[in-house]
Amino acid sequence: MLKSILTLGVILMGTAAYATDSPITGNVSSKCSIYTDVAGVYGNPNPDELSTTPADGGVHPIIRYDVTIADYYTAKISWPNSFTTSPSLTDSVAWDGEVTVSSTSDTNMSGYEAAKVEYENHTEYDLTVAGTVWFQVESEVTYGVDEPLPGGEYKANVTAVCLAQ
Amino acid sequence: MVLWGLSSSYCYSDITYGTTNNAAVNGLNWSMQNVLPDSTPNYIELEVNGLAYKYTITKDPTTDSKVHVRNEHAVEDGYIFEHTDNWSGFPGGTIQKYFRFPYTYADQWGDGEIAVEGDGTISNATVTYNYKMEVNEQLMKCANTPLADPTCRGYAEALADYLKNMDVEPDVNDPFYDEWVQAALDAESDDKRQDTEEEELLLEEETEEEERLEVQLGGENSIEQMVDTREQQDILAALAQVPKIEPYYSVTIPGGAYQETLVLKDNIINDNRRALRNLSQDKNHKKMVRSQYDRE
Repeated sequence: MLKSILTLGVILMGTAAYATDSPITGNVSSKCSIYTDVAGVYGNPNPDELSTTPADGGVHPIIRYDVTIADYYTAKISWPNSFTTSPSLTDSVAWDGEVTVSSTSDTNMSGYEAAKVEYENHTEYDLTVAGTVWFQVESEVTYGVDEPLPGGEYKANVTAVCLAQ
Repeated sequence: MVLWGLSSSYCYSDITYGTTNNAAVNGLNWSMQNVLPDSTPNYIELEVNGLAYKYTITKDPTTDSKVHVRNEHAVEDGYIFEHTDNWSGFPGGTIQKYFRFPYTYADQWGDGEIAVEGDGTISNATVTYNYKMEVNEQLMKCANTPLADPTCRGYAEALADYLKNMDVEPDVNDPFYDEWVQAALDAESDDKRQDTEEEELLLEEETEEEERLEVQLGGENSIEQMVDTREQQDILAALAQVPKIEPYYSVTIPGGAYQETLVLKDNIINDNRRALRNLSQDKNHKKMVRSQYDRE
């Protein structure tokens, strides 16, 4: 019984104190930023082939990762395995690609390339050093078997994400 | 907007921000004179505020290596920029870095280099500089010709020289036609003034000459003009000193009697009768009197 009264008293006092909600706000800026430094271009060295290799008339895309904190992120970059824009294709398309470290802003990042993990069309790098890393992506497309690619515009996307470790 | 418009109307500088070509295109050593824009003319102010480099080093991961990217200080000892990448214990790779710093005058930037200390070979090196170039258009105009603007140093001399070397009357469309007209008017005015001054000077000299003649002939010379009164006062002051004037008072003149030594004897002097006869004639008398007036 005493307990109930006390409880009631506490409730009354609480009401008399004009309780209010005090919000706490804050912003977190991203510690990992991704930019496209160089947009890729497909060259057409052969009728059934597209390639970003400069020798084939293409341009390798360059993706830049800026991380301001070490050991918190993994860079996951995927070379394309489908077209986002293309003419109607009636034959099979074979995709291939490669992601490599183009350059770094710190000598301590020079081990990234050797430590990368590749699976399917994905490549992952542990970003263990704060700074900037430039990744180069190669992409090659072969159409059918000795069949020319239909004329038209072809587009494909490289996917780059920053994964929290 | 209004403020910008006002300020821009007084702005005589053209500012350009730019990036140089690859300084390391011909090797790992370079001269900044071949990299930065020419800032020799005094109307160009060139400042460097950024640097970016990229290179690939090939090396054994187990060896030590340091790569220095630097520029000598052209004025002082040491380097105005130096950054070292320590590749010791790392595999080779490609590295690129960007630097921003306060504006520093381009003439302080000496020769640059990428130097490897230890193991490693550099390839695909790229070094670029960010700069700000300010061209003072006013000074540039003046450098081309001082006649470009009246505010240019040496404008007056250049204009005078230009007008002096003008053999014929300039066309009315000549940019300095007004100045030529003004100069001609000034010259004419100067001639008149010079003539007037010469006349006044001549008149003044004549007046002074007449006054000197009057003084010489007038007999009205003041005592100051004839005697140096100051010198006379000095002499009197000197004489007033007792030791000097005393001898004049203390001199003793010996006395005594001076006896007559000349004796005149009585005698008769006869009259000159011939002269008396001549003077008795009026003719001679008149001639003698007239001679006083006819004499020049």
